[in-house]
Amino acid sequence: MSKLVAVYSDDNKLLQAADQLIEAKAPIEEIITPFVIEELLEKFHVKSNIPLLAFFYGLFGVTSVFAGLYYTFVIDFPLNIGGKPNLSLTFPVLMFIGTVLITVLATVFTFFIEAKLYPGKDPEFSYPGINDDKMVVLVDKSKLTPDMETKLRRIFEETGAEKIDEV
Amino acid sequence: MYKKEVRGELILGNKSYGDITRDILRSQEEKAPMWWWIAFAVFFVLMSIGLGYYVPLTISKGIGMWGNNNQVPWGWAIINFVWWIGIGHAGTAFSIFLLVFRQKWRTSINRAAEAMTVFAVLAAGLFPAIHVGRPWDEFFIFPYGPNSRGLWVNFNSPLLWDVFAITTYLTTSAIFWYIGMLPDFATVRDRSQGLKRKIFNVLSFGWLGSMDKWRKFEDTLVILGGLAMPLVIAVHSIVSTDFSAGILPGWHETIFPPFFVVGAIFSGFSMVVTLMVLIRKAFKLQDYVTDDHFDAIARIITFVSLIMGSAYLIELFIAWYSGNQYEAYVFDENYLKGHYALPYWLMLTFNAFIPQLFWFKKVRRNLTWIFWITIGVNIGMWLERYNIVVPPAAEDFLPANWFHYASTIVDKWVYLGTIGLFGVGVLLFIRFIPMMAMNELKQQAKRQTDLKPTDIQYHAIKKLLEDE
Repeated sequence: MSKLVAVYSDDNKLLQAADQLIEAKAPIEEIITPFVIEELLEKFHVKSNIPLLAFFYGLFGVTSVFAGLYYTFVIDFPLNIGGKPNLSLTFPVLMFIGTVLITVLATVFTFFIEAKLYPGKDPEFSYPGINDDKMVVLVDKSKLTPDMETKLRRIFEETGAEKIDEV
Repeated sequence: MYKKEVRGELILGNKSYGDITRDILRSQEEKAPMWWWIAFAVFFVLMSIGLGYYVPLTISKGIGMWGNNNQVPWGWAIINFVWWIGIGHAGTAFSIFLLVFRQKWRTSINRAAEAMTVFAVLAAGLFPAIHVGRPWDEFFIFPYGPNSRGLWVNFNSPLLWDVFAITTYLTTSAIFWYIGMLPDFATVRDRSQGLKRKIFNVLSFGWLGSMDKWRKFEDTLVILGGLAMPLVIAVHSIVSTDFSAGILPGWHETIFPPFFVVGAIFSGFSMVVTLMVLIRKAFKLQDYVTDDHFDAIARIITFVSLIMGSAYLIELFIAWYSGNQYEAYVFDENYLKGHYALPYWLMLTFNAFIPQLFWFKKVRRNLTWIFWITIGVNIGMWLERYNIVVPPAAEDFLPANWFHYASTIVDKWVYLGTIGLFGVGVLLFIRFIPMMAMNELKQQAKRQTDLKPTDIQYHAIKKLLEDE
């Protein structure tokens, strides 16, 4: 699969290109940057469902830890500790810690699954300087009409791409 | 948002993104300097003797090898445990509080602080583990199900909360640290060859900075940070209830949870500063860890030192105001002028008095002063834990019970062993892992350039000023 690659080393130029690409409704495959560029994510409306999922993990955590404590201390083996109630006010301490642990682990696994990351995976794409100081716009050539390709190349040139390449 | 006028420039020397990568990775791409080998050898020997000989000795012969006795059942082990946990708080406090409060000056320090947390909490975890005496029985602490007598562990006990809190804290801190490093591991992977590339290929999980991944990465880090922030407060509050739930005068205090949390942040921040002074000097990173950084941390340390000073005063006041003779004895006879006056006054000096020197700008910007003051704070914080653990237990309600405490050579070597473990961990970290978050530094560099006036703006402003 051949790809059109435009390499930038100035993020402001990349942002200018992004505006024009959005306007031209270009079928961009991906933009790869060595650090997060918030403006870029905003322009392309990149969203993630991780915060929402984390909230539900938290709800699951707090109810399951409470259920566990209630089962052990009230149903299965109610101890009489100086006549204090079995449904104890000390429960929230472990409920909080248990909730944090469950939410952290579940959120991190969600992140790995959604971002398709695992130990030993080879990077999906490689280009010199890509994780260092170069920003790269990737376009799948098979989805481009000849007209669109000329238009894209013009945008890349006008916005000062350092290099336009095909891989 | 980061305001340059308030903080000054956080990265000096007009660095390009490529410069940042090269500067930070220099420590691992060049040969290790001589001092690194010497320091590594010293810490490795400490670790080997402490953990390789004296810990097995404790386990095989029993806790009788320590200075603990019937009257002072918790000696150096719990002092060191609380001290290390306190230091371990800095990483998360530093990294996460500043992340959540959007303080951009965290970027060059957070990675080292988080690394410190992981090694300090590992060192801390050793003490309760061996203090049990028979570590193999720790199996029963975890609620794997009711044991053979149908009993569950006591979920009402602060000691059990400690087990869960510290395990959760270690897990969360380690995960937070690791996730933050993924993009930097990818940078190292792309720049290396052979075995190193293979190792970093495994470590970087195939990271590629696409937009979707960055969004998820940022969201995950903020969520982990948001969850870990109250955890920091919970963990040390729980450690403090180990004491305040006891009835001994000097332990039975409601002030303990906030007092412990603030104390932990105090010692942790100081340890971060000590390390950053050394790292900056050793790797000539003054463009990244600027005088402004030290200035900002020194201000926090001064503020926290004032809180500590107030807490010491409040303890004394309440001991007097309560009219309780046992409480008054501990503070008046024991701390202020009795057997334990020396550690008490040293603690006050190191923690409450000396850090006030940071009110002077000259001191806040002098690395030598900063280094020694923060070392002093860590000695002071160790003494504070000594003052909490030993004197109240040594002289309690019944004078007939009084028995003093003296640590043994085994106590001292186990402690030195954990210092060795911490040192070895930190040295390996600065040698093999990017010690500053490169991706965040680049983001910071971008923010700075965006704020700089363009040539046209600069000349327009200059002209306006001249006209006036």
